Amino acid sequence: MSEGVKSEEEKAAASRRGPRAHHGSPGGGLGVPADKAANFGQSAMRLLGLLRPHRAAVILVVVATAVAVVLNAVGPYILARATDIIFAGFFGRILAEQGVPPGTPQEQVADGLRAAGEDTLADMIAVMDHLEVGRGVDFGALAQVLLFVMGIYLVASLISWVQARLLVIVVNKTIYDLRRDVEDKLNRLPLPYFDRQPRGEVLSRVTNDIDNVAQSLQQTLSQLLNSLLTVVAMVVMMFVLSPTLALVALITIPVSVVITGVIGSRAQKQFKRQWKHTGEVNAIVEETFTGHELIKVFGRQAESRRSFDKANNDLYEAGFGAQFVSGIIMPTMMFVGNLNYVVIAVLGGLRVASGTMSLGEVQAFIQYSRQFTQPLTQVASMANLMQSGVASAERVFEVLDAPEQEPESASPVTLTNAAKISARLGRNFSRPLRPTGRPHGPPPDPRTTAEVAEAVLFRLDGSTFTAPVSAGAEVANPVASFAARARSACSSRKTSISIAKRRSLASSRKYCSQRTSSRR
Amino acid sequence: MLIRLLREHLRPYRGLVAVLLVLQLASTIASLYLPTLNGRIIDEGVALGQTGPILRLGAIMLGVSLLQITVTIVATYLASRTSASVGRDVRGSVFDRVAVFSAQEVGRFGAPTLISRSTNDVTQVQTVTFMGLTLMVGVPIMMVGGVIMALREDVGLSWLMAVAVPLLALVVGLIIRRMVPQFSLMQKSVDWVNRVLREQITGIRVVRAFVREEHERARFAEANTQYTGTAVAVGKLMALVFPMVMLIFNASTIAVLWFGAYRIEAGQMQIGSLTAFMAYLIFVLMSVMMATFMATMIPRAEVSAGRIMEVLDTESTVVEPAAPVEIPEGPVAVEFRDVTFSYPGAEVPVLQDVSFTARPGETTAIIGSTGSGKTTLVNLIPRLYDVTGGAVLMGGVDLREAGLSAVWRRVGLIPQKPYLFTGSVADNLRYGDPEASEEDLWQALRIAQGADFVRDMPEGLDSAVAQGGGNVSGGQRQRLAIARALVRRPDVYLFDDSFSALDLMTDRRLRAALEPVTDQATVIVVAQRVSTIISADQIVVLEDGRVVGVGAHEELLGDCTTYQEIVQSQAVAEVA
Repeated sequence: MSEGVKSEEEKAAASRRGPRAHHGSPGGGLGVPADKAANFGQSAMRLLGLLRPHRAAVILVVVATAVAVVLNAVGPYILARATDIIFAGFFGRILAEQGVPPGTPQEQVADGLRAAGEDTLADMIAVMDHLEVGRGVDFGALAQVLLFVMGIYLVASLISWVQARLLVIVVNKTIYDLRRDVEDKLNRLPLPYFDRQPRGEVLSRVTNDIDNVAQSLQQTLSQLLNSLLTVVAMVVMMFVLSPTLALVALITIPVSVVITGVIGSRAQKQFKRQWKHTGEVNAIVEETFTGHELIKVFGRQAESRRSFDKANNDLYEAGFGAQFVSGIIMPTMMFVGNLNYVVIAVLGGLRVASGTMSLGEVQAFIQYSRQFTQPLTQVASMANLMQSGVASAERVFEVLDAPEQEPESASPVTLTNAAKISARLGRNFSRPLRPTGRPHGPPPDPRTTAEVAEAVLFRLDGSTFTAPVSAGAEVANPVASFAARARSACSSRKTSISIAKRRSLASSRKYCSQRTSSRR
Repeated sequence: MLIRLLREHLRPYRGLVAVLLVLQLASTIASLYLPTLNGRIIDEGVALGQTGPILRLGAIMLGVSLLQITVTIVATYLASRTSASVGRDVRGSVFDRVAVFSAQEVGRFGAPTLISRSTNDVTQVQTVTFMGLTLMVGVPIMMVGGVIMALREDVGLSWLMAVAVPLLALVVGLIIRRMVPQFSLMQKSVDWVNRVLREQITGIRVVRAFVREEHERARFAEANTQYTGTAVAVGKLMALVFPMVMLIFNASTIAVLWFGAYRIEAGQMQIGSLTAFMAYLIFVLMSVMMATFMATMIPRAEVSAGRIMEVLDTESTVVEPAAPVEIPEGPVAVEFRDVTFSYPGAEVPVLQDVSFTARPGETTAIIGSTGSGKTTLVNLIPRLYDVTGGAVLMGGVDLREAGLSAVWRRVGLIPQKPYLFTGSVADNLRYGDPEASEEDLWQALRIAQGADFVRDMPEGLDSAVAQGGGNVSGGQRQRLAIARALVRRPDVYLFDDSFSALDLMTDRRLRAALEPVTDQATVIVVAQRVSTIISADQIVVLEDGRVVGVGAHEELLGDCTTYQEIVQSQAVAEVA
């Protein structure tokens, strides 16, 4: 089980950039460590290029997102009419109750009000739509508007759903292909490639980095587009409703951006500290638990506790800082949003009273401005996520671009009569150790390459070896290079054993002597 | 599990949490008040054509907003402090508990999972604690408050809420319920894919040598396909959530407008109240949403808490005696008396009726085939395990009656796979004795045949050792471990297969150098090579956990068949 195995690739990833953010950490993309790609533009383009086989679906997704955003933006605007109808109906009834004869034209009512000194009311009534003294709410018109809006929202939801589903499929298929290509590539890389770097490094690229790319791709594609388009749509609608109010509301954009920027960079610093101290604690814990026996038997528990306590406390300070600063962002954005609410409620109210805007329009405006700050924050926090994703993609591409070893002749060599295969091996190759007590010998009739391998490895004396092979046996590779590979399998002392195939693959160990090489 | 863990560790911060709750209450009430104020702006200002109320109420709204942000910041501060403290405390608890574990408990869990439980799992719990302290308090208040405020505006429309809220909860709840098992399936699939890749990379030579690329490719494709399938299934469910939620939100708004219009027409409601009611309905719906999402975080944290509690609840099998008996000073004999040891739940004991005495000034060798119980036997001496039958005595005192540190003080352990710690070579050697001088260290190294390579290192004794000793070869590590034990000058030396990584010559030189140093001490050597132990004073032959022969080399050659077999099989290899 890979749970918790502080394995090589995790060490490599950890040493490079610290543990990854957790699901649901406050501030979302802010929790991701600042990992910069060496060549952002190029790698990002290449990453997007991976989507090419699915470009029809991607275009569909983009279009669908745009349509859904537009529909959702238009909704409140149309809903404003509904509010206005109700408001007008309210006044129609009230005026009639106040003694104004039903059917009086609006202008007359307004004049009457002005004469009574109610200037504000007069201005408002003069421009009201749907106003008919004596008639209450025009339910017919209201029903029409509401049904229309319902229809719009229904379609918008449907489209959103379809778009999200498509995106899921596209992203997952792309990552599937990427994984497959990388695994394929592994089989064509020359062995020195694996020796040249820490094992954990390769592992990390092939597991952690691909996971990171998948996560970034999914989140960015689904949210970024949506958020950007939503912000644009909201701004447009606000201007349509009232340029003046829109300008006032838009002051909040720079304010929000500045706030997110300032707090965000502070939070990043804190997160960096947190990663650093997490790494320290992890290292101490790992050493203490792995060397558990030695610490006890050598009586070093007190020291070990001391160094743990120090690192633990440092982590506590850093963790608190990171959580606090990043936790502030949401409330602050909410405050800015609330300020907006207050300003617009007051200004809007004043404008309705003076007849420059309708009540419905103000309500719609409020809704737009409330829906406006959240996508902004999302876009801001997404920057980090994108950086990290592209950086990971770069590392994966490096694996895909690594030079391959020369291909071996693919055509099998068929031996037509009982031939002897001989090859030269270096002096490092030791004799096989016979497990005590159990009879053991080469497969009697080697036919497949695997069996030939067993036969060849078993019969060693000195620097050349021979093995009889039966007629018609198919050996898929030239034997010399095969023997060289077999040799390297033995000289690597740390040959790993596949857990699932313990028996069959462990056979390589049987052929390698317990005695080590003479290098000392 | 989670509750139990948190209850224990939140207790010291009771006061902070109480203040936090109050602050959250204030913050939520402030947020809830704003739509009412907006409603009043409409009803008292706009509808009556009065600008005065508009401005007045606006100023109040401003004040309330300021109050809300101040309170929230303080609350966040407290929540961060508390959750970080809980994280620190839990980490400390786990560390302390593992410190008293015997090798049995550590072996039962395995070091990797202990490490992950004390790091990843604690972080998970800490995150959820923070979320809990901030959201889990605010959200229910928002829900209840929202309902109350909405009803304050207009009771007649309350039935709408009674329909919309459960509907939302049901829809989101159903989707989430389907998703949760998929999540854990997805996690398993990721583990599978990564495991296959890890095996392919670490075993790349084996794969190539046996031409198993096709096979591996197929194996990988299987894992990859399963993972993609699960991810897509989860994604599709996720895709459903947002559209459905938006639909319910919007439908509720429309419904409020429609039915509210009737009530306004009937003169039972004001316009401003209508707008406020709408705002509150959305409030309530949003908090229901947040509540359901929070519910998804809980299972994960439960699992983590469970894993942590498992460690915290485990008692060590090796305990300090209540009244420790002193072990006599000076050279001591180590006696095994009818010792039996089996792991809990095992059918066959690892050691059975083992009896022999290792005397001071003598070298006692233990030999046997793989799995015969040699390392277990050695581990019984420093009480890394306790016997399940019989007794081990040091200086005539049963180990279980002696204090743990008293036993450790007398023993120098050189384990099979020597582990080095991060630091310098000198730091590692001083593990044996923190007061050792540099001359002591060099002397120990000389005896352990390690002085040469340490001198060749760039900074000699101060050269850095990577964690686990990765930057020195196996043989060098062994010699450093031997030097470390030598620095300690213990009365009992335990060499567990410590010469295996050395070639014959170094092995011989080392043993020769050890003789004068250890001539007073009790030396116990576990070995595979007969040549290493051929000159031991006493050889104990183990087979399947039982002693099948005790004596010197010549005697055993004469009457112990197992020993004869071992010698023979090695002689053949030696000649070559």
